[in-house]
Amino acid sequence: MSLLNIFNIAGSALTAQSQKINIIASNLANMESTIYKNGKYYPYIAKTVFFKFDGLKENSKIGGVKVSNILDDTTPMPLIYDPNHPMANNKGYVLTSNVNPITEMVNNISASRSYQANIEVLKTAKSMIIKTLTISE
Amino acid sequence: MFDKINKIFDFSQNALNLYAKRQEILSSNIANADTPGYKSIDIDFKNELSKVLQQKNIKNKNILLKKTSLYHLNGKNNHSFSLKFIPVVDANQIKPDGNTVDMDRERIEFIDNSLKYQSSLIFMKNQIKNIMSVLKG
Repeated sequence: MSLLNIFNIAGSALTAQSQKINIIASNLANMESTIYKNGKYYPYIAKTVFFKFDGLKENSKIGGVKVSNILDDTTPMPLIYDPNHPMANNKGYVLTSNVNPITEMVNNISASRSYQANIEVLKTAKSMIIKTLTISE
Repeated sequence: MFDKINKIFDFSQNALNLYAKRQEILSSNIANADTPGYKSIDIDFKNELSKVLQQKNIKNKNILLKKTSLYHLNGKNNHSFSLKFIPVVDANQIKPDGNTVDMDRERIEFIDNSLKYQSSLIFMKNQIKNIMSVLKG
């Protein structure tokens, strides 16, 4: 029954988009954070989410989405002159996190719009199925 | 007699199946609106419906053969849809990641398709009403 497959497809999109929003929230929350690794402090690196097509069956062209992987953002870390900072190097520069709040906010709006679009898809599919079930009344 | 009743529903039934399938395809497009490299797909409704109606004339199409060996072929007639990629109207439609989903078009087609599905259902309802009124006199 293809109408029931819509629930899987739109549902997978909802999951993927909410994962993306989660990562964005984490990026924005950790803009000023440091990570302690191997005895050194590093600034937080922004994460980006990659979507991948997720076919319903083998070799099928229709299907949902899934998050394929979450990678570190490759934009360079800005160096800021702040000699009083505890993490400053011998020239007085500090590596800061490469989270760009503007990019994150724009991505957040786009992801939430996609989420809403898929909710509408689910609503439509639901009402279609209900109408189908009441055909002989 | 029941064979005749079946024939009455033939067209609506096939149209409904096809609309449901197309709804699934459109929902897959909407779900993958942000997937890099995803190409928007659709079916040619008119061609597919005429194909299905022609297949109806071939008798015994849904009789399954019993398989007693691994090498037996499937007797089931799987109607496969010929999915086609929606041609890109202008170069601006392609996003930098190679995705060709035009959300405006998909939303409109989705609503349009769901209304057509529901109108097919109502035709079917009316056919049932006709049969019932004949039976009850």
